[in-house]
Amino acid sequence: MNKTAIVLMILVSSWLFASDEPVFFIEKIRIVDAAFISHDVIISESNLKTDRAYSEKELRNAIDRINRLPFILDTRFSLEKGSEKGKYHLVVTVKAAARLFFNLETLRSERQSYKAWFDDLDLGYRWSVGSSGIMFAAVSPDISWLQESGSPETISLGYSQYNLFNRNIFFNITINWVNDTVFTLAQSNGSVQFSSFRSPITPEMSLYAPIRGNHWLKLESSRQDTRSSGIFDFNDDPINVDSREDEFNVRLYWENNTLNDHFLPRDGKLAQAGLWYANRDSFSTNTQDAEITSYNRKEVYNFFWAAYKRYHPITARQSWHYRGEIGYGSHSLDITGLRHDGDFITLDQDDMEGFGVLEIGYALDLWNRKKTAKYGNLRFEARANVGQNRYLNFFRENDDELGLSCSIVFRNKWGVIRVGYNHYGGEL
Amino acid sequence: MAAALLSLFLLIGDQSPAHLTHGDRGLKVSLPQWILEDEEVLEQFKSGLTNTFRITAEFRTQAGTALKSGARLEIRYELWDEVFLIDVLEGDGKHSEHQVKDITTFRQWWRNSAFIIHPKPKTELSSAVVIILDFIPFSRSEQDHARAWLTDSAKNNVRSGREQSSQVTSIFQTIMATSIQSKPLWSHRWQLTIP
Repeated sequence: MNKTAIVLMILVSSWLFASDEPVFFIEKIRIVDAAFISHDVIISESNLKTDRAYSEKELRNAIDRINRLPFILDTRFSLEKGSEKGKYHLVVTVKAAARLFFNLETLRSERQSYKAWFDDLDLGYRWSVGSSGIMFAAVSPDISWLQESGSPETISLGYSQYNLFNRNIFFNITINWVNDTVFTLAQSNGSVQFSSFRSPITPEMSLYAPIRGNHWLKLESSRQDTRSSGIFDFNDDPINVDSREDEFNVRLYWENNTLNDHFLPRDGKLAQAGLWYANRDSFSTNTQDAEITSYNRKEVYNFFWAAYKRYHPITARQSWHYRGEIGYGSHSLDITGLRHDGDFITLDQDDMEGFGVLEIGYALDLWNRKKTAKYGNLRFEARANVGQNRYLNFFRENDDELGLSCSIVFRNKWGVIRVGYNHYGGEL
Repeated sequence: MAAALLSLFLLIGDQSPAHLTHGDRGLKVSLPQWILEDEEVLEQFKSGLTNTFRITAEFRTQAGTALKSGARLEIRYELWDEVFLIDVLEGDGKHSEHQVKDITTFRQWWRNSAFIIHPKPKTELSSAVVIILDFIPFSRSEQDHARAWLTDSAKNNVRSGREQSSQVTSIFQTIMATSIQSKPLWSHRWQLTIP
């Protein structure tokens, strides 16, 4: 038998095979081992409805959807006989994360001049509210006693509402409270004292509306109000600087998400495209010898933005991924200032800008399925990227650069630890 | 104590390997019976959803070329009809469907079945072969991937009509390349000699 005939035979078999795919009429959905998570949250996220028939493909997609919840570690489906022949009860067994959680991330880099122990450390607690709500409180402790520089103490309180209006709409609001931070930058040839305090309330809001299947329309916004003041005292001629910065970000975008896990995906894709508006208003005054210089600065980005990330399994334990992100749009900068001698300064600049990043990565699960089930996930990750990473923030600009990183990630029901090293290959 | 040791011995002793035979269509493998006693396997069968046994055979030709081939069994226990529905895709590209009632009959079918993992004549193969058996529970889009791959593979090959060095490799890829992406619940590996 020649090769073409064999391949045709297999093809025909596969078509026959496809036509025989079983379909199950689900009469009832039962959730098992959900811990603190409301059953309604899991059912609404699965997108499965009772008194409907589903193929195995649809059930597998539902497993992925549940696994994308950040507090779910693993999901298994099984069937039980229903009330009459041809009808089934779907039993959804989930392995949920604990109420108490932590996140520890530290990626070392030659760029860091300080000896920081952590880049990010959060400790939190979450609990169920009503039939489809989850509330969480988290604290990023002040770890200045451990390291010379780091994030200030932050307390976050968030509420996520799933299945809003019974339409599978997701809404989240998080309020962050950032503690004041005061630190001295230098003390050798004089002193520089600088304090920065953000508005006690820094809100973040998200609203996700399902379109169909794994497609969503998403709206995200955040606002941050920062006030800073500093005394730059060199040669007994101090300069007082006071500034206020109001930053507002809003993104409206379409998303198609088929990733098989929220934290450690190894299969599936994440496609996003939409509009991104970012605005930063700042007002600053400098005082030196009782002479005041002040200026207003308004900066606005209006961008079209798109990102695509795809994970491919290579073997049962290995996977690779690539990511591309592009943005293009208008950027306007408007500065008006008044010098102490009465001169008026203006700068009005409008231009078109773009950015892009390409990334390729590899992941290896260090533990097999049994060990993973017992102890959690342990994964080695390596990544190379080129371009600008502006993900989630326009105003933290990076130069075009090459970057290489590798890290070890451990996840269990208590949280995620990521320890790694970043190497910057330099600016392009 | 003696009874416990005897039980342990019997348990270990029962972990017999897969068995190879040669038939008209090529090299066949029979899978050991104790696989069906595995609690996790039985638990997965009870789920009423499709689970997969993936058989991979690694060997060399007499000329020293490394070869991979295999077979795939997809098994679902239909709760209402209380039957096992089995789809078999063998190393020579043959696809067959079987239906057996209850676990006892299924065990008999399992014991009496041998699956072609390589259609080549015995004379063309070296004697050593490694057999890997993976059990893949109901997992994401296994069959989707498989069908997409099958379709693409077939289209490409039919379109180009090019001959690869080995039909076996092509069939193996067709059978296996898609399911290799899924994490098995467990794997067994046996080093065997072709009889």
